[in-house]
Amino acid sequence: MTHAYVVGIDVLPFGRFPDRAVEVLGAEAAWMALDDAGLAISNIQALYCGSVFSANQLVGQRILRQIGQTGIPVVNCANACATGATAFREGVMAVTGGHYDLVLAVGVEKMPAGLLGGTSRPDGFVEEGIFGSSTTPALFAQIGMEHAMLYGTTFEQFAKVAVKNHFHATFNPKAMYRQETPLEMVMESEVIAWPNTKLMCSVNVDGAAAAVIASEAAARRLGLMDRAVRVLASELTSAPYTPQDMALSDFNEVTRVCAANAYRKAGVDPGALDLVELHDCFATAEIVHYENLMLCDAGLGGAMIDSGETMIGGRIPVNLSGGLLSKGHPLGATGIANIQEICLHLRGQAGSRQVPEARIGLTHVAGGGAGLPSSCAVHILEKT
Amino acid sequence: MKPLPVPAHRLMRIGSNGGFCIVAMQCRACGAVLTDQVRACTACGAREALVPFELSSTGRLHTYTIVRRSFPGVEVPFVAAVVALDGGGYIQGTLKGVAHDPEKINGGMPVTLVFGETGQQAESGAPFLAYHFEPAGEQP
Repeated sequence: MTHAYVVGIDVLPFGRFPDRAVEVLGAEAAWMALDDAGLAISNIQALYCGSVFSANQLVGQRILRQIGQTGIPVVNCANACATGATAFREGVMAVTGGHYDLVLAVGVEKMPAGLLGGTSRPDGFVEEGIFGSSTTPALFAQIGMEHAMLYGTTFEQFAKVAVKNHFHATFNPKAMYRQETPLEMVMESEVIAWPNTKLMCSVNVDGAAAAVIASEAAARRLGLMDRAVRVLASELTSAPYTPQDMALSDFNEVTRVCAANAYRKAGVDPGALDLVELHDCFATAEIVHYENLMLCDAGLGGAMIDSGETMIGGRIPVNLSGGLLSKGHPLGATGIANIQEICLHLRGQAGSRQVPEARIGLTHVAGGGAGLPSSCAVHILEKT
Repeated sequence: MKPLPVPAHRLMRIGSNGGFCIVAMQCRACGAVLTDQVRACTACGAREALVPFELSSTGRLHTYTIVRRSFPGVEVPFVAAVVALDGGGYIQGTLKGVAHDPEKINGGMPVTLVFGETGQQAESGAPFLAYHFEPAGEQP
């Protein structure tokens, strides 16, 4: 089995950059990843660029204009919150398929302000508040309440996710918010959509992340195997049919199928993972994804956060980067940024939050919106 | 003459009893109930197997949230809910007639589908008609 390797990867710390164009953010991340590998744009044979809001405006080509317009193939893609991971996966497949042996994947986003989603239709009717809600906080609140109604998961358990991830962020110099939020503070902050309070929602920010992906032959030729991280599985799913998907967009089954495929491809069990970066766009999402990623049995997600197993130092630390709740969530960059966090640990470079002797890590992103079928990507990465 | 009301939901129809109802689709091949307008069965892919399926006006609360912050201009709080209708089909809507208090809203509680005016008007002046959910029977 041929594998692809991450030989360079980095993240531009997320924030609001009103004065920098999207291609400038992407170019900076691309340079950081190239520098991490000690390579130049002239070494790169193809670029895969993910951006939800700029994919239809040749953002990848514009990045090359910034750093070297070498004429290589560029693919621009958008796949909701799975966009960055989708671009990364295109690079992995190009390498494992033997088309190229050194490619670049960039995820970049300049986000529009405010709540995502629209309110008006061509006929002027405003659905919001009449036919429920189409805001993303309300969607993930309902996904959390579905779990609560089935298994008795509590507001406090959901809130503990934010406590944990904000605590983790205090160890990550690149996280946007590096402030501990005690349980009472999370539970008493403004309710956006019950049970998600403001501190249980990810932050709308700009950002970019990039990765250099190589074949084993190229990594060896360039002397980069000491830093190479092996991509054991790179899986993507679209929402399969479920009876409720047309009323409540599914993020569970799409993740379960993707995770099962990834574990099978990688030949590892969930128990073999040393750490996980999963899609905590809202605190409620993290609990359901513990189960969807098979980190615990169905119904035990609430007990899992209570146990401290997913906390730094625990059995299976989750979102040691601080997660989207602390780092922010620039849609297209997120799926490469979480791969970067895993790579740091596998390379032993995660500083004060380093998982000791980390060997295998998993990343997960799931994207969609109210009324839309979703998308999910899972990557399993191994230390070489 | 006052303009006739306009249904605000694409699946609203005049039902067999002369009142409003929601007409979804059902697949004759696999039985799936689809609450969207689709070309073939979403569940099994069967073509030309879809027949109109009138959703029941009763069901059970599948999930909900109390929305306290929404898009600018939208009145909050309100309860956004998903209901599993008796006989099949899930739909999203607003649950009225309950306190905005999670202690008072129970998973699986029976609800009914109610049709009525929304307070919104089309450009022609026609009132928009919609549906919402209300608790059915006695609440604990």
